[in-house]
Amino acid sequence: MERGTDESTSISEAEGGLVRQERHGPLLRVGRDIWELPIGHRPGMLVPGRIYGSESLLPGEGEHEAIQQVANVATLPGIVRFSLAMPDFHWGYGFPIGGVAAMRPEDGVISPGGVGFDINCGVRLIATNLSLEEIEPVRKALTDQLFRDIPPGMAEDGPWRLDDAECDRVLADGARCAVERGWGLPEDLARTESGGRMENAEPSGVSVRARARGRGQLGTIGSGNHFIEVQVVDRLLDAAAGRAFGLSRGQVVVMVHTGSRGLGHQVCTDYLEVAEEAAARHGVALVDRQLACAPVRSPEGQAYLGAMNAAANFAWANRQVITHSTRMAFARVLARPAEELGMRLVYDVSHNMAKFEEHEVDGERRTLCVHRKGATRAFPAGHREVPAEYRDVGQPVLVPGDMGTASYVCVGLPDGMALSWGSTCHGAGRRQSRTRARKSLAGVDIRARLAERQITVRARNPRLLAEEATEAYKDVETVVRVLDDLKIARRVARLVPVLVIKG
Amino acid sequence: MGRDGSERGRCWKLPHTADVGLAAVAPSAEALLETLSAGFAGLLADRRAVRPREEWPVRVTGAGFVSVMERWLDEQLFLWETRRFLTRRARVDRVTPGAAQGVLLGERYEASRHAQLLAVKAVTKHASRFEEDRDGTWHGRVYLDI
Repeated sequence: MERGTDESTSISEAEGGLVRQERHGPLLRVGRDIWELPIGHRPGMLVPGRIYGSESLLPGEGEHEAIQQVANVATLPGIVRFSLAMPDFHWGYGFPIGGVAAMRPEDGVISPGGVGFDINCGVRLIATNLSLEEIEPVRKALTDQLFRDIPPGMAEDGPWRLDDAECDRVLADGARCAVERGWGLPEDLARTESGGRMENAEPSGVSVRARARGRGQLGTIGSGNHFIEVQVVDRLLDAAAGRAFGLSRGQVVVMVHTGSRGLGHQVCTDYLEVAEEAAARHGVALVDRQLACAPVRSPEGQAYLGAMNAAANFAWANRQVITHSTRMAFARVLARPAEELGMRLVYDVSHNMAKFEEHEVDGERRTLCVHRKGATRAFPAGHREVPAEYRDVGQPVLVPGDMGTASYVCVGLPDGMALSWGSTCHGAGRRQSRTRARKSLAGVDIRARLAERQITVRARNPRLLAEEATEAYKDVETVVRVLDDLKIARRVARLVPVLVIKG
Repeated sequence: MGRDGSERGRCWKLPHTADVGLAAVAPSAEALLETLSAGFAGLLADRRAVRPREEWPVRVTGAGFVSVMERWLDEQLFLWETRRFLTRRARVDRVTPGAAQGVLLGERYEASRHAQLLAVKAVTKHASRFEEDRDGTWHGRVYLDI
């Protein structure tokens, strides 16, 4: 046992010898980095909880809210096999962040809280053909340009302000609409999850309030843990996959983390109200109101799915506009056309979504509604939803760490399909609350500390730097190691930050 | 959470790993909503710099006190995000289990005078509370998505 709290160890006899049964609070270890939350942990659980993580990643004593939320999700109608939590999981609201749950469409539910307020929040990675030496002389100018062109914080002064008709087109067509308007390249779409467009989007299901919140926010990153980072490929851990993804050691890349902004937040707010009423009408007992849900096939469930898909399209358009702005910023500062800089989109992943996917259940292929709340798809080689150019290797998985350490590019593996419905972590995962991080780092000059490590940071709100410091997060190296060991996703490249833009 | 004399209750932050919670106590339902509203405003910006120069009428409905509280705060967030209206304090005329009515007092955001603090995405329904205890004291709790 590495470390931890509230754990006990007992030895029991089992087939073939003695088996060590370790506990961590209510969790029972069932594999090296696999923990089970028994079905009786709370009344109403329909399936057990399953948590992937080393003991050092699990919540400590008195911090079992996230584990309780895994149990709460297990009470939702139609859930299949497990209520899952990835190694970066932590206390959220309703679902834990890092939670995954698959529901049968026939008798299961769709939960807006299981997707989250930031619908289709996600990460994309843009490659360049530049080295650190080439951007070092323009580091400050590049920081200023990115900060100016891609507004962080509560900005509503994005570069593409939408009228109602244009908003409808974005909600219906996502990144494709953005590319058609000149915000990017056609090949970007092929390297975006779902082609950057959810079908069955229903723009008319997006309220006037939601549209008002999103109207000026396309091309902006927002705040909190959202960012733009210029990074360098520090280590290539899987040369073949790295080559397929166009990555090489020493290469400068750009990582973007943002979502559907105020529009998506309001869609979730609106449909939580609808779902709460629907749950009552359909006799679903909610153990947490944030788990409000409606049967997948009910009118309310279908209405939410249509609006969620529309908000997801807004998010993809947002990241697409940011991609274009990033290319233009690099071109301006380096005084070279963007095409000469090799600024190719590597991939774009979503980590707050519900999707209908085919999975194997008890030996049969079944369509399931997979909720991922702070969890990323990680489909293996050969899967038809992996872009053609990566299909022999597997889907790129983008795992942002914190602004002081490292991020990872991984690749989905076959075992993940059975272990986690083809899902993996979405980041390092928070360890400390924002208040605790600020208190514990009072008096520490985060900017100077990062500068000592040659990391330039620019933030609209300086207090965010302490809240987002390394200490506030779990160890990303351990998080990705666990997933690699479990054969859910293999590490391909380690990326270290050079320049960070925060909200 | 500081008071500026305008609230009749007390509000404080609750820890949460990723987000932030607010809890409050007050002698009446109206005072509790005013207190939570002011507490919420204090998360968005430094309220001491916000002058109560404008009044923004607010009327919300809901299914129960908790729902009414959530919708009031959502309206406050909406005004901030779409109108750049910062609240100094709220004046709540009446709260029932079905509706609340009152005004938000504040002014439009000016970058030179107002320090933005947290960017709140949404008002969650996780563990929300708005109720009176046996002694007549009102208790509120809400978690905000950051």
